[in-house]
Amino acid sequence: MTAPLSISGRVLVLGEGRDEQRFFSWLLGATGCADVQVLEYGGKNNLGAFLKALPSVTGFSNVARLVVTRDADESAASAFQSACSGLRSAGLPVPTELGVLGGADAGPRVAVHILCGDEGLGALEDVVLRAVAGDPATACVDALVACLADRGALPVRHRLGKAKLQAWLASRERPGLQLGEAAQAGYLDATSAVFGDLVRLVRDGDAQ
Amino acid sequence: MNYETFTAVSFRCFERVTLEGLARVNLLTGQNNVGKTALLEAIAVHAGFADPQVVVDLHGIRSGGDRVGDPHDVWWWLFRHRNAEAPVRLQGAFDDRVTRTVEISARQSRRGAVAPVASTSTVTTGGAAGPVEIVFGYSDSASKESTAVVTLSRGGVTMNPVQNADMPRTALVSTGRTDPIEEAGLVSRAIEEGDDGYLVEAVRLVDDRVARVFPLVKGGIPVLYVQMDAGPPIPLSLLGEGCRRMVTLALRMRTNDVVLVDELENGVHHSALERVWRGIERLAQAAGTQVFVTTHSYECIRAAAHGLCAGAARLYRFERRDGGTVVVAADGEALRAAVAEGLEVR
Repeated sequence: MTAPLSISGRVLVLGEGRDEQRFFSWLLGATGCADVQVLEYGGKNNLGAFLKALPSVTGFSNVARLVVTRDADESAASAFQSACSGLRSAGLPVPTELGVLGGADAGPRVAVHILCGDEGLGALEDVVLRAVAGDPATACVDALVACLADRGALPVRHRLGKAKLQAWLASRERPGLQLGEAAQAGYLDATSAVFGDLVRLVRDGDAQ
Repeated sequence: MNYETFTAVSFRCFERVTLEGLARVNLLTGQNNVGKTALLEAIAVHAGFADPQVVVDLHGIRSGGDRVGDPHDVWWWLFRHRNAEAPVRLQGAFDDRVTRTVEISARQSRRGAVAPVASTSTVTTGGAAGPVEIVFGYSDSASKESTAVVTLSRGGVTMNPVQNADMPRTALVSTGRTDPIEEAGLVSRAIEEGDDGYLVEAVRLVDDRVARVFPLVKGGIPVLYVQMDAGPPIPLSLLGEGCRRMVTLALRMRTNDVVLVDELENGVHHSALERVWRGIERLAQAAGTQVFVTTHSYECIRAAAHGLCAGAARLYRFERRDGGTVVVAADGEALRAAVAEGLEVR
């Protein structure tokens, strides 16, 4: 049995799954965010229970900032409301605005960061696609998407980003990696402006 | 009668601690010396105030025997930092909508006149200052009041208990602390009433070879024996700690409203823990018993998360913070999530 996980960071970032945890760990490490710990909460359906468990975890009392990330899926606004509802049920501070830390006299300040594409839907993969937009392989990915569209074989709109990123990752020297693994393998640029809001929120407590 | 909320003020290590939303089965976790066992004791003293002997019994469990070095000392350590200037306040809100409060204070009796004790440093129990009284004052939201008094004097300790206190029947189950003769009597009664099936069921949680538990009189003393599925009956005392614990636990749960268990995992193999939790929940539901369990074991917590219904369980993690004790609660659903994600909640 592996040792249970205590909270050791002053800043705690929550990601949906193992892949998000790997990605955020890479991103925040590469951009000089100190004293940050990234945990996964086992999928959006588990977020509420995970948040309720969090205050009873060893070390949580030392957390100064908590950043909850979530995919927008079909709506960034709904995802934000859902995350806030989970925070409220857990007795944690609830931010009033997306991407802004909610203050609290006691306990951590809390922010919700929703991951989405330009149209306010999608997931982390849509954010990453914007970061790799200048890569030559994206033209090939666009051609693939156009071809699929011609044949009526496109995934639903809010999952298109995932499909496109998988295609882009397939163009790398080591194809078949998950997003977090690809980031750790050096295929992404952590300094890309598209990651700026999250990095500033985690590092400085301010997305602006 | 079950607790819904319990508060201890100025008791042992606690300045103030409150457990809210108490469930049928309550797990108490936290590092060493953070107050888990003290909380069990606080409940035991609250529920058992009517007979202050409970305080001596608890000391016996703590010290591993009944011998008491200084019989007065037992009483002073009820107070935080041994300081009787701050009275102990134990309060429980119950599912019968009555809030019951026990306040423990010390006062010095001198030539018949009673004056509050200024501080323990000025108290010389049984010395020139005269006897000291430890007062267990009970009051509740239904306007009932009563008082039990313990007098500490040079000649010893005198207790004046209260009769018929309206409190939950409570038992504390701790490793190595059983009364075999009393337990043999309880088993006899259960057999007589045809109600011993639960007992066998409980012991089988840790050893499925057990077919029967029954008393035999040996040398004039009733002794508990266990009939396994083969071979002669074996004295319960020769079986492992796990079996003995299950007998004690089952008997206490059947005959009490509240059962306090210190370190459930002691003597129980990890592979049996989930079954034990299920058994505890079944017994608790059947008898209407509320259970408080301390544990240091992640295996025990994980087994609880898997074995208990989420709605029946609650975890309270005791944490030292800013020189005091803070309690953080998690419901059954949160407990499951914590275990599923491998989070540290001990």
